Parts: sequence; structure tokens; C-alpha cells
Amino acid sequence: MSSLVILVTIGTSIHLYTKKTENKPNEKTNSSLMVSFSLFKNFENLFQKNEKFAALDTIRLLMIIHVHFGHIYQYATSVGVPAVRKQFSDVFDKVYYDNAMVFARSPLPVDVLFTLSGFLLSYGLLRRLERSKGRFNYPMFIFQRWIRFFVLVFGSILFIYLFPLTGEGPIWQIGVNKFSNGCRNPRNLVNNLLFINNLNGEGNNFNGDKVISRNEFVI
Amino acid sequence: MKILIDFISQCHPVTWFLATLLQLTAIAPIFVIIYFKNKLIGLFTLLIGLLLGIFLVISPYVIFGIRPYLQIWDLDSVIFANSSSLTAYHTFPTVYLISFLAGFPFGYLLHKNKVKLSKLEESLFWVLSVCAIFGVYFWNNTFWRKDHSSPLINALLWHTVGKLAFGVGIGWTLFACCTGRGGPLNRFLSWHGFQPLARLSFGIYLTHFLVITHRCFAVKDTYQLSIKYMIEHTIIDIMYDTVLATIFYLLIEGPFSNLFEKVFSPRPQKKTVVDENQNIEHKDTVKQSV
Repeated sequence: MSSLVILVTIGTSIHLYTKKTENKPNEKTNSSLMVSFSLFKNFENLFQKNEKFAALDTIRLLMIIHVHFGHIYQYATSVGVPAVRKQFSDVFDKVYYDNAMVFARSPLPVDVLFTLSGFLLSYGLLRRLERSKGRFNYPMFIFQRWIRFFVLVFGSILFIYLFPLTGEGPIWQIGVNKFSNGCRNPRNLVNNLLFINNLNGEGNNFNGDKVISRNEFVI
Repeated sequence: MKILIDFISQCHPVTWFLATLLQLTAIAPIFVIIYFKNKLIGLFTLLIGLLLGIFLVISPYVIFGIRPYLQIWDLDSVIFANSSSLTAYHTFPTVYLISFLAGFPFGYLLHKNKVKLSKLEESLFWVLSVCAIFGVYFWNNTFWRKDHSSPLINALLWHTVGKLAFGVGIGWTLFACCTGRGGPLNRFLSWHGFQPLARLSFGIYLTHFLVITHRCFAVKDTYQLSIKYMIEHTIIDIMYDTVLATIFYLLIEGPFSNLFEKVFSPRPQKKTVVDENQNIEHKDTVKQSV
């Protein structure tokens, strides 16, 4: 994480320097690549307008917020139970059985994201094939996709390593141990970074160290 | 209550989605290349793919006898997330083949770019899509009952026919929004105010688990759970997550996205119209990730 902060600092400095001296760095030179890390450049990118597929971006955002919503309700009423006074609370019943709370249980937002990916991927691949007159480098295509996902997953795992420093409380350590232990298990890490962590059956996927007791979370 | 979830001992549980997406992406070129070579055979292959998707969804039950997790009272484990059903019907790529392929015909139509539809046809497609989307969405309610599971056939139909109808409805909505047929919905979704947040959506997805776990475990006293509490804290959590996703974007997602664009871009020195199109396409494919 500190290496990333250093890269961003250097990238921002180079960007500011080249902007000040109005020297446009050549494409693919080291300084041009370093500018990729510039804080200003990325902040500008964040607010860039996308005219063609703006609606699709928003649909993706809304579906991810939907997933977030669902997870908040599911977790608070399952793993979050140790902190909850259960007497007189009707939320448990409502989250799982009330028709109005369907948004907390529906897996369909994930399906929307897959349909969106299929839609854009088929369109993008057709354009690519048209431009290259039917030639297609499959290994490079897969490598490009993998490396993009790899960096993002690896980057977000760095946040998980910092997570224990962000809180305290009587049950904090229980949560942290359960959460961080998964990422300390090398098998889990390899599965994650090879993108095969969805294939483990029999619950191994969600229980990397296989020590959970069946009664552990019984409400 | 039988519904128990323990995602916590896995490393970064939500990344199952990216694993599934990468696996589905690996087979996508097969369908598209066949369609590119011969449109009729391509569409036939897509139909075969959808039928195969339907079979693969029901195969855990047909071959291994694993019931869908929507039959909550008949699972093989008291811990919901430890049941083999959740893997077989929620994280395996085969489960999403139908939804994934449902987007393809609309991607082909978008590429064709000359699809003429009368107002009546457009209205009909909109009505059917809205009915399919909301119908399948609320169909989900039939599975959540306090004392009994929904019939097996209901759960399997929802996973197959239901998801196909839902995918087609969503596919039409995406296509309509990209081709100026979206009307007020498209205007709302294309509002510029959403765009910075939309760029953070990948980061929001990857970091939301941290915020939720923090909410559950960084407490110093027990609290009374109520719907009002949930709504208030959901809003606060989404705001926290947006801040976290911004940091993620500035440190990781943005820089590496720029870097890969420079490294993988085929001919960046030529500033032609074709290259500009490549850049647009390149950005599109980056955004397909979530």
C-alpha cells in the first residue's frame, strides 16, 4: 500500500511538472507511464463525461447499490447477531419473510450485471473482429482481462489487510479474526488470484479453514 | 430461524463474482466469432448455448440431487452459506450462463446499428420487458416462507425460464437505452451527476464488504435492530463506501486502468478516427468488468 502511495506521489509530481513546463511526455516513455498514477489525472477521469453508454454505467451503479443493500440487511441479521438485542425486534422476520423486503433477498441484481457484461462484451468483440478483419488473439484477450481483474482484486485485498486497524470493541477481534484469517490462508489467496474461488463445492468456498462449528451461528 | 450466513472465513468473498465473470468471458469469443463468420449459425449456436445453460442450471439437482438454495428448508447444511446448494446455484458460472448469453443478441443488434422498429413494436417490447423484469423479481417472494419450502419445480423454473425472461427484459432495456429508445428512463439514467459515482461502482462493490463487517463488529454495546435503524445506517454505510471506493479508485483502479490502456493500446501514435473508436471500445470493455 505504501508503494502505491509513493507511485501516486511520483506520478502526481511528474504530471504537475510536465504541466508547468508544458512538455508533453512521449507515449509509452517512463514518465508517460508514471503520469498514469497522477492524482489529478485520475480525479479528472472520475468526472469525465461518457455520452454513449452513460445509462449503462448508471444501471451498473444501481445494481451494485442494490447488492450493497441486500448484504447490509442479510449480514446485520446473521453474522451481526452478537451485537443485536433480539427481544421485540421484528426485523429478523421481515428481512427473510416480508414480501416488501424482497430487495434484501433477491440475487437478481447480479444477473443484471452478467447480462450487461454479455451485452457489452458481444458488442465490443464484434467491433474488434470487424477492425482486425476476423483475426483474434485469444490468449492475449484472456491475459488482458485477467491482469485487469488481478490488479483490482489484489488491490482490494490490501484494504483487507489494513482492516484490523480501523476499529475496536468487545467483539471487534472476533470479526477481524474471521475476516482476516481467510486472507492469511495461502490456498484462499491463490484461489482468489487465479479466479477459481467460485468453484469450490461443499461449503469450502465460504469456510477456508474448515473450523466452523455448525452451532456457531445458530440464532 | 434456519437462514445462517458465514461468509467471513473466506478471503474477500465478493470476488466470486469476478471469478465467474472471467470464466464466462473466456467462452464469449466462441459465440461471437461464430456469429461473425456466419450470422445464422452464430444465432443457432447462441440458442444451443441458452439451452445448455438451462440444462446446466438444473444439472446439480438432476445429477447430484442438490436442491436449489431457494428451497431453504430442504438444504443439506444448517449453515446457509456452507450448503453445497449455494455454490451450485449461486457462485458457479453455469448458473449465470443464461443471463450472460441473454445480453448477446442485443449486443449483436447494437453492432448492426440499423434496427428499425415502429412505435408500436417498441411499446410492445417495453411492456413485455417491464412485465418480465418485475414479474421475475417478485416471483422470488414465493420462496421465502416461514414453515415450508416452495415446490422444487417452482425453484427450478425460476432459475431457468425466469432468469431467461429477466435477462431478455434487461437486454432490451440496455439496448433501448443505447439506441435512443429509452425516453425519460434513458434521460434519468444518463444524468451527468451519476457518472462519477458510476465510475466508482467497481470500487464500491469490492470494498462494501469492509464497511458492512465494520458495522457488524465495531460495536461497543448491543443495539435494538429496527427497520428505521437499518435504513439510516444503510444510507450512512453507502456514503462511507463511496469514500472508500474513491480512495480505491485514485490509488489502484484509475492508475492501473490508465497504465493498461497505454500498454495494451495497439497503435497509440496514430490519431485517426479508427483509433478514437478503439479507445471508446477499449473503455467500454474495461467497464464490462462489473
